[in-house]
Amino acid sequence: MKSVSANNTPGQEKRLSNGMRFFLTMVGIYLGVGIFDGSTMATALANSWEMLVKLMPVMGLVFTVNALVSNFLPPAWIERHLGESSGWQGWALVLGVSTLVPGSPFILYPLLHELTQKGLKKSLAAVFLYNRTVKITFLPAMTLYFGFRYTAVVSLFMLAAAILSGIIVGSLSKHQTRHAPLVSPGL
Amino acid sequence: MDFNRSKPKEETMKKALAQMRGILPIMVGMVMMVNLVMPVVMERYTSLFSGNMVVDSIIASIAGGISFGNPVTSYIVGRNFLDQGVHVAAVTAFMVAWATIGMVAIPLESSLFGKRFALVRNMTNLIFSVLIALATTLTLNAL
Repeated sequence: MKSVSANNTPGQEKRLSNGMRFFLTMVGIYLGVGIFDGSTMATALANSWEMLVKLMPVMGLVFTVNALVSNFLPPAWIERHLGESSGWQGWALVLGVSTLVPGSPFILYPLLHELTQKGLKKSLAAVFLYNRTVKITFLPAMTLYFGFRYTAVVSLFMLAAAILSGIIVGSLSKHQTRHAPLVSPGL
Repeated sequence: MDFNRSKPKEETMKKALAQMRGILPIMVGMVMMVNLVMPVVMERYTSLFSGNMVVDSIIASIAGGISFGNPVTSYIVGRNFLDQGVHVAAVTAFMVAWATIGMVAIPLESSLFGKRFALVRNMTNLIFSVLIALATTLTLNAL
């Protein structure tokens, strides 16, 4: 999948973005399911609508956070602290921030994409995505259900795995051509 | 930290809006996929396990990777598994995979970070969830 946006220059035939194709595929699957099992489709559709309504404020937050990052976080700062030359400080910063900052994937994916466009190295993006669960806010809930000893052991292993995951993902996706931005440079 | 105040705000807003427009169809598609797949998967969770620690950890990792939602939900489901006699390794693999793998989010992740990044990350995390489950179980037994 190359890019979500279809950047059409004048004279070029307008074609659907990959995102729109994915959405239309899901609509097709729903219609297919609906033919065989109308109630399953209706329930799934109602639940999807309910979830989307709940997600609307999150989308507003994504928009705000991305606009703030885009406006106030200069690429030079990101390159220096979270870029290729950031060293161990970049790893420590991402591990610390990802443990403290709560965020659903709906917020994290666009935010991290924005940051990678400005210089965040992909290994650190992978660490951030991995460390989504080892959060100060989630630890009490885990302790409540599984006890302190279990929570401590799992959390330590997950922190180690986050670093290893970042190293592996970073080195294996290093030679990938720089990904096309979501937004055309003209905007 | 110095702030880049010279950048026109209008341009930033346009860029953020365009990004949202690009992401929106994928997010709606993801939500639709989750609500169609999750009830089917949820119903069959407990019947998936065989009693073998390693095999169950692999099965639980895949099940957790397909699942989607708040990590706290995975604790509730995991606790329920444990009470039903599912091995602690499988429960751990399930919860770790739930949070670190996003099978349903692969289209979004690929479009934002590239297909290779998304596949490598999710595959690596699938392997790690099994390894963490086994390491946690062995550590807890040794403590």
